[in-house]
Amino acid sequence: MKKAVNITLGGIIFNIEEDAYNKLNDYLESIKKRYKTKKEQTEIMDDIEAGIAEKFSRGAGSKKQAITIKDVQQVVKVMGSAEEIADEKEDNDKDNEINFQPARRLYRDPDDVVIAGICSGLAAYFGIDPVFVRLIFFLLIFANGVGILAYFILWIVVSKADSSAQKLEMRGRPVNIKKLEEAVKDKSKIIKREGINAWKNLSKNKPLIYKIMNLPILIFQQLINFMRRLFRIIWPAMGIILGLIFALSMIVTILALTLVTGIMLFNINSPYIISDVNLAEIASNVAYYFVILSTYVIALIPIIFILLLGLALIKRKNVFTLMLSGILVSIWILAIATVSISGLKLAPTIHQAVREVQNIEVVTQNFNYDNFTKLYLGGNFKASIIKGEEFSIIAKGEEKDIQRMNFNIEDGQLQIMQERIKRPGICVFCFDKPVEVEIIMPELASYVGIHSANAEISDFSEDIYISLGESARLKFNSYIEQNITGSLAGVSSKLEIINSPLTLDMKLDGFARLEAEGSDCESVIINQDTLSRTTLGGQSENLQAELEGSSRLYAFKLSAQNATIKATSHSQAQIKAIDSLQVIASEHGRVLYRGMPKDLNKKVYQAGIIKEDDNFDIDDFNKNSRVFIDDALEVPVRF
Amino acid sequence: MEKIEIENTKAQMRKGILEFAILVIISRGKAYASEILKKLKQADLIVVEGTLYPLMSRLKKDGLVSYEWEESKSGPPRKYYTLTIKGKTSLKQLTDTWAALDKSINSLVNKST
Repeated sequence: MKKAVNITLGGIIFNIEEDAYNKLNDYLESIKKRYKTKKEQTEIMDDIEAGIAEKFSRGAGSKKQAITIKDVQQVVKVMGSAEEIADEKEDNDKDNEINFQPARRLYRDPDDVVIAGICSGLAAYFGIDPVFVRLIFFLLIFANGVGILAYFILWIVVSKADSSAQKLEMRGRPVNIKKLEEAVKDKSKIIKREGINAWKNLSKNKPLIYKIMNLPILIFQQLINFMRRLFRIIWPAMGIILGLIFALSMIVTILALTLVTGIMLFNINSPYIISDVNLAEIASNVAYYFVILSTYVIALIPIIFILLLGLALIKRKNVFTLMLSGILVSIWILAIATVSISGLKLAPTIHQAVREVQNIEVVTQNFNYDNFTKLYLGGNFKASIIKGEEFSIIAKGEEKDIQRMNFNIEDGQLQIMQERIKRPGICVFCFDKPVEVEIIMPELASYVGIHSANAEISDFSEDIYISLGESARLKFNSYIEQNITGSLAGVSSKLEIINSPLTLDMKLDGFARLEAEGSDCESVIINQDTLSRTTLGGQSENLQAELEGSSRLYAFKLSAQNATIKATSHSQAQIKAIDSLQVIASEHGRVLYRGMPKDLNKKVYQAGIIKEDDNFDIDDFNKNSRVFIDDALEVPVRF
Repeated sequence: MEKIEIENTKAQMRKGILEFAILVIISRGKAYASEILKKLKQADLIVVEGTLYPLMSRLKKDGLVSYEWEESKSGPPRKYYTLTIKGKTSLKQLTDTWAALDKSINSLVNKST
């Protein structure tokens, strides 16, 4: 037995069982909730109720029976659930009325792809030409790779517009029959192309994790595709240019090589061949000719290969044949064998000749100059400068080299210069032996070294100015009360400071090197530019360094109480500061610091990096801390 | 999975042309909900009947159809729908669109087989 109720539906009275009534009521309420405006709600609900009433009156209701839950279920099935009934288009239209513009969504455009369709998708989204978006992304690559990163993020996040509806949404057009039809028309044009790209679509609906896992492979594939496209355009032009460069430079090389070999073989006494060794003597040995000839062949064959490669690039046709390569390689191996055998035979002769060179008579000469406090050395010297009461200059070397030395005194500066040797030809076996110079003087205020002047200065304790130029080297023995200032410039100039001055103030430029590893200074000031390199060690009250132009400062071993560092334009500094550290890093300047400074002040601009050194060595810190703390506490520091 | 997708596509297709179909049915003379439903079902264009009612409400709101109440012999009065002038123009447009769509789909289908 069940309880039944009476209801009116669409103006007809029905007798309905209670559970059936509840279900029907729920169903109607669920539909009702979908409609916001009262007017709409009433109208649609009236229609639906009338529709249901009609069904009931044809079925159970007509036989004067109560409506059961089965009848209700049947009706619900025919009418559809609230979700099914809802008119989606109705909802969309309402949104549009509010926005006035059709909703746009960002999709990747699969029909206009260079890498993954991000740029064309964005272009469609903003309604601009994809070329501009691609250009922007390309330019952004140079902003620290922002473009690449942004692209990959978008690639992962943004889904591809696969359906026509999505493509319309991507372009911000309302989705309706007419637009769909347009899209279908478009589609038929590109359907061929899509077939080719079908393999790409295989992965379209894979989950995110799959995308990420697959990313390297995808990137690789896309990169290859991209490169291939790029290459196809520029390859022919590039190939020809590259081929021309190869071929031309190799032809010039062959000519030069042949000329030199010819002179070496047939005109050994030519004035254009200069040597410290007696070449004629070596040439009297028959093995000499074998060595020269086979050396020529050994050098020539790789050059011929590159030349052929160049020709192949120009003609865009392979000019290598197995036989040609085989012959060339055989000759090459044969030549190597010849050089080895005849070289062994020639070796004693060469050895003898070189010994003769080394045994060349060395002369010693005294020069009498006095009353100078400054030194200028320019030439191939090996100088030793020592403190002493009496002025004395002694030069030791080959007579022709000593004769090339010029002396001059100007404003208390002794200038020793060496005339350059004029070589009218090609130098074979040339030994430029430096002239050994010993200078004794009472006081040294400044030292300038240039042109391979290699000097060692000891015993002077007064303040000094040091300047080194191209290829000049100096080993300087400093004293504790001394102030050293100076500048190092020019390729491979090098200053090595032994022991420690009181203060050190140096400017470095152009590949110059400074080493001062035993410092115990009050202050160290370093200004570095253009690929210069400084290594510091020991300790200093103050350290002040300015780095530019990819220069390097290695000062982990210099315990500075207070340090001020400025690193710009790709320079790098390694610093150890105990009390305070002020750092500015800009334009890719990079500063690593140790020593746990108590007062730390960091400023970073334009991609500069400042960070504490990861490989911080605790033992090293302990050891160095003790130097400062032990004296006061006499307790080992523990961590 | 695939079957559901196809069913979904079918439903989308039906839904897309439902409006057009209704206008065609009404254009042949005034009709009330049950009649329209019957014809739609015969043509296999509707799955659940409930869909019709909100759609009719919208067509009315858009001014494509209007209705009048008429007494019936077997029950309460019914809503009989007729096309308005605007509805007739829309139907004309939709008919053209359908012809074009039909043509392009056919050309695609024929090409691929």
